[in-house]
Amino acid sequence: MIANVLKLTTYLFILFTLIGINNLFSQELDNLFNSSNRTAFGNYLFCEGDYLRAIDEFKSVLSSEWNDSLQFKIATSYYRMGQFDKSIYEFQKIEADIYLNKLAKLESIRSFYQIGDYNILRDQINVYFITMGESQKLSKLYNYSLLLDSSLLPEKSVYLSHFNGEERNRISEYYDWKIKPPYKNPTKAAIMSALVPGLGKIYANEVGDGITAFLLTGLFTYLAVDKFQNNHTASGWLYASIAAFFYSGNIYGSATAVQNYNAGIKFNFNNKVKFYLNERDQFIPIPKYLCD
Amino acid sequence: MKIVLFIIIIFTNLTIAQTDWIRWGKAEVDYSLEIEGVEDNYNSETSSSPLTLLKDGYSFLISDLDGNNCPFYPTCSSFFVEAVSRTNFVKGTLMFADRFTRDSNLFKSHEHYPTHVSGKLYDPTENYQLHDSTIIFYSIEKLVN
Amino acid sequence: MKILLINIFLFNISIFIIAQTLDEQKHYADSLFGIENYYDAITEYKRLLYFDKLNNYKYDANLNIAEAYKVGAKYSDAIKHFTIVRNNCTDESGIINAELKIVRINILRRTIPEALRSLNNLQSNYAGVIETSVINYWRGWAYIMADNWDLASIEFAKIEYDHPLKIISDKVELEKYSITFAKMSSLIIPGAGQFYTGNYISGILSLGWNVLWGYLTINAFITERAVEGILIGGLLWARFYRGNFQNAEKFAIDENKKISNKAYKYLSKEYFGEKP
Repeated sequence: MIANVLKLTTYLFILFTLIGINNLFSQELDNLFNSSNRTAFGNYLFCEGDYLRAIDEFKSVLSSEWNDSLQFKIATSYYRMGQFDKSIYEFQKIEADIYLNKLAKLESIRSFYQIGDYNILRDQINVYFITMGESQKLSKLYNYSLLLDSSLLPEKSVYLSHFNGEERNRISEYYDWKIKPPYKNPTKAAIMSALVPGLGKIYANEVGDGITAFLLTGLFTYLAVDKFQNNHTASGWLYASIAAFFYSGNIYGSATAVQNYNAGIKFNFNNKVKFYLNERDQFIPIPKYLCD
Repeated sequence: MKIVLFIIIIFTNLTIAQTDWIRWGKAEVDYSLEIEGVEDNYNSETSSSPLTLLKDGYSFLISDLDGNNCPFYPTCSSFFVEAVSRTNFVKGTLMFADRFTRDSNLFKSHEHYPTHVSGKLYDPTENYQLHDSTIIFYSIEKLVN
Repeated sequence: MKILLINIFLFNISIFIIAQTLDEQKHYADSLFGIENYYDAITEYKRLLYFDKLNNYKYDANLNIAEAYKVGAKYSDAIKHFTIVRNNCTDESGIINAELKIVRINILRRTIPEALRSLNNLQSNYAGVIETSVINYWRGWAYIMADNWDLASIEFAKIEYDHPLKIISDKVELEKYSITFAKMSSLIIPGAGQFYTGNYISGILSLGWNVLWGYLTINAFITERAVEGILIGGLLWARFYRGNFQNAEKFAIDENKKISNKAYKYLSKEYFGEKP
């Protein structure tokens, strides 16, 4: 009796083990290129960051049957490779799955932000508002984007109404900067350099260049005057023209130096805004569970 | 500092492509060493405008012989040719005079110019044409191509 | 009992099919490698590795992935996969082979200190197993690619007194100009270093400028025009004098590189021994 039970148990044990092993290997491994195997391999590549190869796998699966979540991964792959126009194009194809459709719209808005085309970014946000309803976070992105290009800002009170708390103070500061940027005046720099050679350069924060311009102009003016006083007219004119060359070049250069100074100020401001936005993922939640 | 960090993060994440993000093929094996070459490239073989002749003459007689003085890219003579051909002779000369002054600045601050891939300071003519729209501001950390 | 038998049968069948498909997959990847489609070959080797749960192909597939990356000049990726190969070797000769592959990539991409360090480690860790001539050969190549033909010659001479690569290295070393001599001679006589390296026009022009500005500077001081003297001497003469010896040095460096490049070209095109 006991022997029979033991025999039966052993038998069942072996049976179930074998069924288990059979199941383990029955991932239809007879064909590595069927849809489920390609999807599995594609997911593996995607999670390894091997995006181009992953895209190839996903695309070949999609050619036989459509699947929004794979399409979402294709688009995300392009985004992560920094090919934003392609990611936008691919995100657009996601329609059937309501949840993914919403995520895809948000992600293509993120792509437009990365491209830096803020006009289209705002258009896209407006379209999103119409089709999917208002979103407070997106309207923040909308208003931040106004700081990044040359578009007109709304009234300060209207503008600030989208923000509150500490963020409101910060954005108020940005708003004031944008309305009245602390630029310097190129004409003023040119006039300053016309009066005292090099002064305009110092005004433009280029102290070394300013001193150099002063020394060069001064030196050649001195030589010219000295030559004329000693009746060496020819070399007098030579030094005078060199002096004039440096004098006029410095007036011109002071104006361009201020322009470059202003460009730097603007660059830093834009960077500050972008840094703030990127720290907050552009107010768009990062899609989860792409790698599982 | 934060901004610098941010730029580094952005660029390492997005622009430094992984090896396989573009298809590639067999590469030619080349053991040879790169020769920088003392002389500038002469242009008069392809174009014979008086300006390029002047520049090539200057290169041949002067700039090839007076040592490696120009810390900028493009070099002062190329800057002059480019400035004149993009604007006009008077404006180009003014731009060149300004460049010459900045070149003579002994306490040149490297913090004011981004670095070109050649290792020189990047200082393009576009930034000195008196048009705000042509100015491209590069952050100091960026290596310009 | 019947069910058990059926199961055993099914199990064997599935094992057999999997082994067969994986083997087919390997052949497929190999064929892509064979027709020099390296990018796709890597994809297929990766697919093989992904489904090869038992790691039967780990060694072969990684070896070929590494070779493919090497041909595509993706050297760090190649090293990454050769390292996987090495770590999956159980026998000494396999480890040594993989190590040597990594050394050769380091030679090829001119990370010479790395290559030399690995060669030293190989020599001390596998003394007796690895032939000294192999170590010497690759060390010689490392020095060749470091443009250090002197040391290369010494390494090849250890293998054989008239080793073909020793003869080439000696020839290159003999042909090269002395950079110090070029510079020093131009410091003494402007243009002399340029003449030494065969750049006659540049030498004559340098000499001419230095004579002219030297004369004008001295003349200015003699006729008591000190400011002009300082100006011409400091801005012009000094500039051309400095340019003169800088050029002499640079010409020597460049001519030496040309000599090396001639040898490199010969080695890559016409030398049929083992190369990195």
